Amino acid sequence: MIKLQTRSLSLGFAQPLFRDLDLSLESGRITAIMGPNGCGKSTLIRALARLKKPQRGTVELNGQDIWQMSARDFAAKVACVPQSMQLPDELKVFDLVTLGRNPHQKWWQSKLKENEQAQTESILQRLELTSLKNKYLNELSGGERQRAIIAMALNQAPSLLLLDEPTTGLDFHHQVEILQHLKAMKESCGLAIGIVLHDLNFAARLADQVLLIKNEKLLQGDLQTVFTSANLKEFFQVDVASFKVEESHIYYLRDFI
Amino acid sequence: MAARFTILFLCLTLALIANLCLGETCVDPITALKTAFSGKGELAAVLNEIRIPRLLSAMLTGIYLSLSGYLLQKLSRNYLADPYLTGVSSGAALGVAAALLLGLDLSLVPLIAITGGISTSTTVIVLSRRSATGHGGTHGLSITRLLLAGIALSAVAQAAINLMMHIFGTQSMSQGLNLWLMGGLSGRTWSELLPPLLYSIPALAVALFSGKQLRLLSLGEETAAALGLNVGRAQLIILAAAVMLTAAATSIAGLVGFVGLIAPYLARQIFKGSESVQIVSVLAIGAVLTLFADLAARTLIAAQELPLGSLMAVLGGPFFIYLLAGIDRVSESSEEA
Repeated sequence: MIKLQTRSLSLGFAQPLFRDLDLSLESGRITAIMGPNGCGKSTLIRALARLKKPQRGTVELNGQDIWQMSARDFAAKVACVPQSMQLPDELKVFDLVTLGRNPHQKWWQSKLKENEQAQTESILQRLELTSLKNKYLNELSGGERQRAIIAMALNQAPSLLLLDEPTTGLDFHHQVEILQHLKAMKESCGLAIGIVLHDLNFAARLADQVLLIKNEKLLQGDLQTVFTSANLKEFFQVDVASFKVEESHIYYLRDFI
Repeated sequence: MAARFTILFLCLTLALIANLCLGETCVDPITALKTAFSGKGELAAVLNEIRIPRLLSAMLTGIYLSLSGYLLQKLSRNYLADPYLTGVSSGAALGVAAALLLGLDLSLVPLIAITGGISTSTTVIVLSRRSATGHGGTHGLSITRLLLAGIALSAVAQAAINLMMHIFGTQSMSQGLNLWLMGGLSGRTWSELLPPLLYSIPALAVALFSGKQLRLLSLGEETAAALGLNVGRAQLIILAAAVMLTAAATSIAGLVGFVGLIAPYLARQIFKGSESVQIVSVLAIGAVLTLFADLAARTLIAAQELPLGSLMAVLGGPFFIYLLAGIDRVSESSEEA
């Protein structure tokens, strides 16, 4: 069981993006973080991933302040897929994915153990990267690179996975593949997931709870509570309606062309 | 890959043999080896007391500078980074200048060069430390600050050397110091080699075992931190190793530039592969470069020795401009795209 919890978290730079956020990410639950550009979604992911210190408040992992933990201990439990990442040309896909094992290795260990090798191969296979594993990263398309980065994060064997717009740049097939895979991992391994998404329908099909952020305003709860037409109009300034198909809500723009 | 390594090590062997056999007195390799091992006669003294310490000095200088350049380039993610940019070489030179002008024992020179290099680089590191928002829970290093602070401190150290020479130096002292500042390996003895060799052992160990950390850092500080690397600590340890290697090289050969720029570049072009492969190729290329440069320095003009540092600068300067032009071309083409 894992629980990443923020207590009265305030984040921002010169001006605060938002204040006093109490959010909990738990095993077996997917939390979608949504809001317009510049509202602080990526900053929140960075704070949850122990990459940015909060202005006020704390982030706790199973009751322990994450800034009291070592980077290695934290990374053994929590993995993060950033919005953008620099990838050196001289690295191959397999090399990149094996770096995900770092938090579980001694600092001098450079070769994979037998079980690590098997795990890496299995993740490559699940993300359809086996045929690309010996390719250099600069030979891949944007979508293939994104899958390689997600594979590296999964290779950390985390209990909690944070993803910042992971489907950006992916074709529709791979967007669906990745999101289905995340959902399957939540159900089979009890993975806790925090994910920044822009697509309401993907969020509706995937998330157990949603956090909306805009101009220091925060709204969180389950889908039924948060995804109302009034809330969506307030946070995204679009007129959205929904209809139900087989227990799922489909959201569409009421006044689009 | 194996064929390329074979060619590289053949070049290294050739460079070692050429440095042993060529000079004012030329001998064939077999005679040279036999005479050196026998230890008898004037030729044996030339080989054992002059040429072998000198070729080892050249080899170590090349290894230290190229490895230091490689580490700095990996840390700064900038292929133009050179040991000089961190201010280490100038700091070491300042230490040596002070020692020579104060008339200290010559055996202390390597130690003082290392102390000078470490002092300058410590200042550079302190100036480069990020406040408050370092990645991975520690205060990281700002690479931009590192390079700028290095350039500024180099200028200060050079100015301080000039002032000291102007105020305290006699003409002969200034000439000696100038020769040393131009870089060279003339008259290196076994006893001068030992201190830098000892100081470089921990730095060499760090360089050889930091392949994974360098690879993690190449993904960017934030990703490296997210993968569990203590970014600030890793940067400090690797930087300290690079500094010690440069200081050791400077204490042996004076100011020799561009080896740390050229060797990592050639290694990247010729040997694609893991960091371990790159490190081995970088140090071998650095050794070959310096060995051939030193051979040229002492044989190009009969009965006269060219300063190694100046010779390397003549070769390295245009190479630096070539790299710079390449970077411009890349950025222009990406802008057009």
